[in-house]
Amino acid sequence: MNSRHFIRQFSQTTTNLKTGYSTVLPVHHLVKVEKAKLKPCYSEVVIPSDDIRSNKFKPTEIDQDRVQDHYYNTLESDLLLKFYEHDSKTIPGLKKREWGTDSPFKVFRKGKRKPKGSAIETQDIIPINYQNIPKLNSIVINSYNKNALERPWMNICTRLQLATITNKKPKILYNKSNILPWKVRRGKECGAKVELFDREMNQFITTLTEIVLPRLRAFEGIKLTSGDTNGNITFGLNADDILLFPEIENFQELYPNLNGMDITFKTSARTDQQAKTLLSSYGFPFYKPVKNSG
Amino acid sequence: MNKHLSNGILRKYSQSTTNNIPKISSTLILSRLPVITTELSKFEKLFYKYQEELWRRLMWTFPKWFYFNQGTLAELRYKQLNKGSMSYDPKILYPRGIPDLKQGRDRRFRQYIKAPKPYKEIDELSQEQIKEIEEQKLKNNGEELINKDDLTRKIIPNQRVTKADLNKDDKSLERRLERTLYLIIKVNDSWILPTFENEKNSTSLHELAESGLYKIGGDKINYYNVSRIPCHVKESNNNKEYFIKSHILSGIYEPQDKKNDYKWLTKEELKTYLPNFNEIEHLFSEV
Repeated sequence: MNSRHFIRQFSQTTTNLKTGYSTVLPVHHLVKVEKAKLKPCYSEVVIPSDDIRSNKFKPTEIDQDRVQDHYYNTLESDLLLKFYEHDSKTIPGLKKREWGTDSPFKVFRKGKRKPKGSAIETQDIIPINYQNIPKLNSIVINSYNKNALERPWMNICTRLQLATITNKKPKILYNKSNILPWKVRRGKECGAKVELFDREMNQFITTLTEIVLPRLRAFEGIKLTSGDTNGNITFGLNADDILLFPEIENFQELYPNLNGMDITFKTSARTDQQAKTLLSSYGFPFYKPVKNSG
Repeated sequence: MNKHLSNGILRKYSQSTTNNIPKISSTLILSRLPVITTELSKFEKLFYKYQEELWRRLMWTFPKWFYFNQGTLAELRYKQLNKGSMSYDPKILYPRGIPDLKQGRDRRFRQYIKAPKPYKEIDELSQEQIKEIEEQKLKNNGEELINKDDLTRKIIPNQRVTKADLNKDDKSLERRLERTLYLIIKVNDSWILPTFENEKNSTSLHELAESGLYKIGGDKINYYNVSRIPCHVKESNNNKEYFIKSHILSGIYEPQDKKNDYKWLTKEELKTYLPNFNEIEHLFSEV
């Protein structure tokens, strides 16, 4: 108890025994300051990476982007007209509910009740106007390599394959859980993924729609059932299909261990239907899978 | 009083059924989308070139060891074409700065790789070979002989300016490839966008536009209707003119009545032809 009296606090100018307090709010010890960066010799480090003076600067507008031009010149206005509905209103999504007060147990219950008819909240569907025309935000290429679980060097092949196709350094995927029958162990490398934006994304779309997909004999299109209900569409290519990418096609003997990949189109559309219309306007075909009866 | 009023209203309704049925017509904005990219201005070209050079400096060094195995013929051919840069000597003064050499590449600058080509550029040919090519050109009406089945031939892009541009052919779909073209037709000595009146009580506006288009332009048109919803409405007196947007994908417009003239024009050119251009200016694309 005695030692406490002698602890000097930020709000106090003298020892704890005396009266009096500071009127200035003690904010300074809540903000983390990296003093090294404030030194004049580190001024280059503080420059943001999109500034041309920064040593991390990477130019993004390097050439004319015809896919983007096509979107802004033609698709954008067409999609606005296509999705326009007279007198349409926002369709509210499922939201979390209050517990209510009809039982004493509910009164002080923490958190909110899950939405009716669903385990998770869903988005509001807003009518399309000139401000929220669906747009392709990014493409994620994900390649899960189960062979890499036993032979870790095989993941190098997967990373190389993605890097050659997309011209971007892939991120390594790691297992999250232990499932022993599948030899899945937490923290093991199991594939790679890349997220493409802007020019790189548009370049990849061109490669897919003009070179790779037209030459796939068995390819009918993306399944109409694809989609995560929030406007993101996924389809897969297997290892044989990847041979058709022009970067790999001429050097097939250098890539003996190709791996299939999942391609996800992240769009700003709020429904799958809108996202599929957007993708089909970029030249991706869709087909209705036939159900196997009996 | 009440009876009087209701009678008045009734009369109004009865009037509308006899005289005031709005005349509905559907106007087609049939466009041909740009085929090639837009021509860049000089400033844009310089900007992109500058940015691209900055970007190329960040490029990874070409992994020669990966693509060419040591001791192979391919590696030998690669080495003959690509001579490695000088080694760094601390005794020499470098006016452009000390080279940052890694794997035979100066990492301060972009790396140029020469790949073996199955054809020769003009500066690589001997004078006799150039003479031969020119003689062939003269025999072939000034055009170079190109074997189109040869997959290893040099890729030469087509001209941005087509024959239709040179001949100033307004009726060709191959003119002004970098711009959107719109169809206009001549009716009673005035140029209009094709308009079709609802004579047979068609079920929908876009079907009315479609049947009308086939009627005046023949059925060799493959077109895409953007939406069933009209993009504009023009109301005058008792007429309602709905504008339906669609794109021609392939085929040709052949006027069924030879007297009917037609043109494919860009937005700027439409200005001189359409009398009501100012009202519908916003419907046409700038590009």
